[in-house]
Amino acid sequence: MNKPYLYCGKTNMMESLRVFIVEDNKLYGDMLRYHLALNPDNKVLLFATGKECIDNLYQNPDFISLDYSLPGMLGLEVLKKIKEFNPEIPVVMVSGQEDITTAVSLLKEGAYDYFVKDEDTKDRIWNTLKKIRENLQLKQEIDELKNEIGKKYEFENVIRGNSRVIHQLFKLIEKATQTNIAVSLIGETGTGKDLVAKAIHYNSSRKSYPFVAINVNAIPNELIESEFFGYEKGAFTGANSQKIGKFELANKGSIFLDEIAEMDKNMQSKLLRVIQEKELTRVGGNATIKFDARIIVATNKDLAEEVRKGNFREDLYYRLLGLSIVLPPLRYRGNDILILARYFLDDFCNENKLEKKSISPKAKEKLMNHAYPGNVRELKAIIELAAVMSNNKVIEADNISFTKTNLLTDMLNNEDTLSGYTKKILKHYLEKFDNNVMKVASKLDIGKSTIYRMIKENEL
Amino acid sequence: MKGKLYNLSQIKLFLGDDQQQLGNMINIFLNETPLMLKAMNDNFSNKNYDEVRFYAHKLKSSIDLFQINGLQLDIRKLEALAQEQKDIPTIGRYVSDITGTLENVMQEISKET
Repeated sequence: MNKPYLYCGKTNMMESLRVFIVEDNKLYGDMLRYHLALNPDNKVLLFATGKECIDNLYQNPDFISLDYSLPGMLGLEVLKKIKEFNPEIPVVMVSGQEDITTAVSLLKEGAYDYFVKDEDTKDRIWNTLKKIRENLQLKQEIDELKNEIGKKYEFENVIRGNSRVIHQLFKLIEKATQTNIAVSLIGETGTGKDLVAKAIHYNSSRKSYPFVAINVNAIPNELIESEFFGYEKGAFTGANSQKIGKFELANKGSIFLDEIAEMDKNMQSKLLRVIQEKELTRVGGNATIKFDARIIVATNKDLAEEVRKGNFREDLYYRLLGLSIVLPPLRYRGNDILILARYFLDDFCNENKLEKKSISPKAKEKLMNHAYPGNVRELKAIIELAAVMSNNKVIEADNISFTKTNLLTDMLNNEDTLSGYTKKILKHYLEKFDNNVMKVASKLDIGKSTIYRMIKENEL
Repeated sequence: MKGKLYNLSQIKLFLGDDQQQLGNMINIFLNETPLMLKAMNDNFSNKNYDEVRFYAHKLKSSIDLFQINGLQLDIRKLEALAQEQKDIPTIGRYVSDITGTLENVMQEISKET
């Protein structure tokens, strides 16, 4: 095999474009190579045959100028092989063939452009390279931003903590990232359901595609269908132009439906159909549009209970349930409270250019004894306020103030029967003490056998 | 006095004032063209008209670059006729004329180096 001729000015790998010229007329190839190498950022390699070009594709060219009429293998065949290797490589066909049908067939095969050899060819190729360089720079910037987002949503950056429940959560999230299974996130308000949804998306194979989040509760019922599936111009009064819906926007990516339990039953049946058929129709439109997105739903309600009450369709429930991930409330995460408090404090001081502060033992005790009905979100707010209130480098217990709302008030507000309350209390303590019946019995000041009986009776 | 058979303005558009590169290009033309002409003539003798078309196509780029006026149209006609593989005597005439003219061009052009 002939060695390719290499011409280049400087070799700044970050900026240089690797350009292949495939041309068996050595005179024309050399002229083109000379011209393109006038830009020192172009690293130009010249090949006399299609085979040499294909053999060198491992060098990952950014651009290929390919002669149509080559010995041994026609340009069209070479083009197909290049596209098989990497469909992203822009290939410009350069030919003396002034035949429009040839040009069309080459463009159909994925050629970036088609130039007939004439006095303007070199300028056309020069301008094409300029455009490709600009596109690559934009692509590089986008990739860098995507990487940054990816890092931001690495599990450990999303959910901080070292408790056993958090380690179990990491394992489940990891499982969720490995397939396209639907994911349902169940957790109280402030447990970070939206962050976990993003972590699943940005650590999955769909990360290069959009993550689209919708809070079902925030959209009025009459608008939800058009928000989800889009609408055609004239579909209703005020529909002055076509609008792409969130589901279409999420194509190939993930769609996150927060507060799914709040969805109107009529909309539930429409959503079920879209999920089953994997296609949707815009409001006012006739065309069916293929839909391929991972569905992640979240709720702070017990969806199974909502099904039992008749508020949520059973068939949709099973469609959406997929991998069910329960996000533990902060009050069950033990020492994570202090790990998170430390993290929020450092972050707040850093962001506000405050001196680094520590937390006194009494303040720590106070933090550990709170129930956090607002979970991590509440802890963050408490710590930020404490940082503002403290006058020195130590957060004291006095600097920590809790809002009036607490678990008991919340529980009482949701009216229930006495046995219902008993069940909730028992469930709460079992979760808090990791199903240690001895501890629960001691805390509630009742016998172990009573606890076992209650567990059996309440199917806990 | 007869004018030149070729014109270097097209090549100079590519190369600017780079005389050394111009010399290199002329050398490539002088080295490559006889090989292409021989291949075209041999293939014509062997009635391999597809290959005649192929070499005519290759020569077309060089002829256009050196703006060999008398041949720019002829080489295209030869390419088309060889593709259709009809009117063999005319193909033969074109092969012969183009070969002769290019040999003259090469003689002239060699004085540039």
